[in-house]
Amino acid sequence: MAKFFSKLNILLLTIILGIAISFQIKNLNPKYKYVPLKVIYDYKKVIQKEKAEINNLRPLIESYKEKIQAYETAKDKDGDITSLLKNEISQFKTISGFTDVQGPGIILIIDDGSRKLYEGEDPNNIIVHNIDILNIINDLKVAGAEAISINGQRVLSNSEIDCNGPTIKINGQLFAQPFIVKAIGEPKHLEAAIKAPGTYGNLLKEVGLFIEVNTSINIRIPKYSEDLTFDFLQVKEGD
Amino acid sequence: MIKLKDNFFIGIMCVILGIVLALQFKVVQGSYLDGLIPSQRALELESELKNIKEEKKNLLNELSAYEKKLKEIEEAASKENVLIKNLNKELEKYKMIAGFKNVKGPGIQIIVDDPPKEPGFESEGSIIVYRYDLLLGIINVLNAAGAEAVSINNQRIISTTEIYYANNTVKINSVPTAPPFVITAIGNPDTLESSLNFRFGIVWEMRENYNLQVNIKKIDEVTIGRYNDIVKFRYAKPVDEN
Repeated sequence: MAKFFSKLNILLLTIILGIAISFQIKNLNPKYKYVPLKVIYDYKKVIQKEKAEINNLRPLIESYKEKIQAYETAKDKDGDITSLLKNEISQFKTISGFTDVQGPGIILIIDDGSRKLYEGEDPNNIIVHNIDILNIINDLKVAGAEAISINGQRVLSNSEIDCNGPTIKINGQLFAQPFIVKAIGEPKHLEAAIKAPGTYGNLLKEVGLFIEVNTSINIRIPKYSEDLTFDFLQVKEGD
Repeated sequence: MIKLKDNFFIGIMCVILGIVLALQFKVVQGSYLDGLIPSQRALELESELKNIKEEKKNLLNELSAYEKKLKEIEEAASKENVLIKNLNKELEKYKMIAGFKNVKGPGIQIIVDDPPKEPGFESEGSIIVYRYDLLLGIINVLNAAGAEAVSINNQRIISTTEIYYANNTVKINSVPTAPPFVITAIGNPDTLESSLNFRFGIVWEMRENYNLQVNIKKIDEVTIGRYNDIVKFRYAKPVDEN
């Protein structure tokens, strides 16, 4: 009887051993490998990005289809596509910043602070820097600004806002404070982008700079006044 | 004697059971983002990503096909008419300035990534994603050095491009992107590189103050893709020049 029990024990032990080994082998099988959550997280990020891009592409393709349709109807009618081309040119001129534009928006005045310095405080704290203007311009774009100018200079994608001692260089021209920023867009959104707690504009105001926002129903922003030449850029054809 | 033997076996069984349990726990346990989960989910996501990439490629092909067709129509028309030819030229020029053309030229590539991960000092989240204003700073320096076209992670920077932090990603042209950030710019490579490497300048600040990895590479020919969305002004209306 005792022998029977000991044999039963050995049987049970070998079964458990078998299960344990099979678990381990299962883990070793490449198909059942375990991956860190970070990998899944990264995949999700990339998928999110690609999806956003695809969502942008679809309406773009639709707009091209419409354009081709319009060209073909114009051609069938009288064979003249001049007016269509002119339309498109004025559209792209507006987007690229080569026409004066007007619309509702805000006028923002930024100036150095006039308060007294604290004991031993760095005067830089209450002076407008180029990085301040840069961040505020970005905040305005986030809030949907369609056209922006600083002291009458249209801000384009290639506009630098460069620190130049007591002045700031924008589009190769020098400007000193006060800086008057005009932006066209939904006035309430733009105002909030400067005034709301936690925004960069609000931070500057707390520090002691002079910041004033006024909404307006009609603002005029001049076109880009410089001559834009490309020395290095070439259009890539085909593909 | 028999009782002792039985107890002994039960003891060994308990030990083996303990080992098996420990192995299972080891596999499942782990902190957020360091834990392990079966690769099956990863494979699913991988195939999903592959499908989406395929779809995007198809859409891009479709887009360039339509673009080509449109161009053919315009070219056919401009052969007949000088006026149309001139208009076409003008259109192409403004499209290029607005960022609606694929462009190429000499330039530089900057890769910005978070500090290298050190074991034992795992940081939560990413630094460069929070300090996206450093990216604004880099673009500004590139513009000051005469960059003619700039893109970040294949997103062309146009005049309305915004950069902001949302949901643990940086949104550029409202497309969410994550580090590493690859910034490409066309311009004079030497000027662009040295103005970035300006002592106590932006790259120095990023390396010293934030411990970020910044690699700058001069490239003889970089290509920068077009802006892939529609720009429609709802508030800004052109002023009649007459």
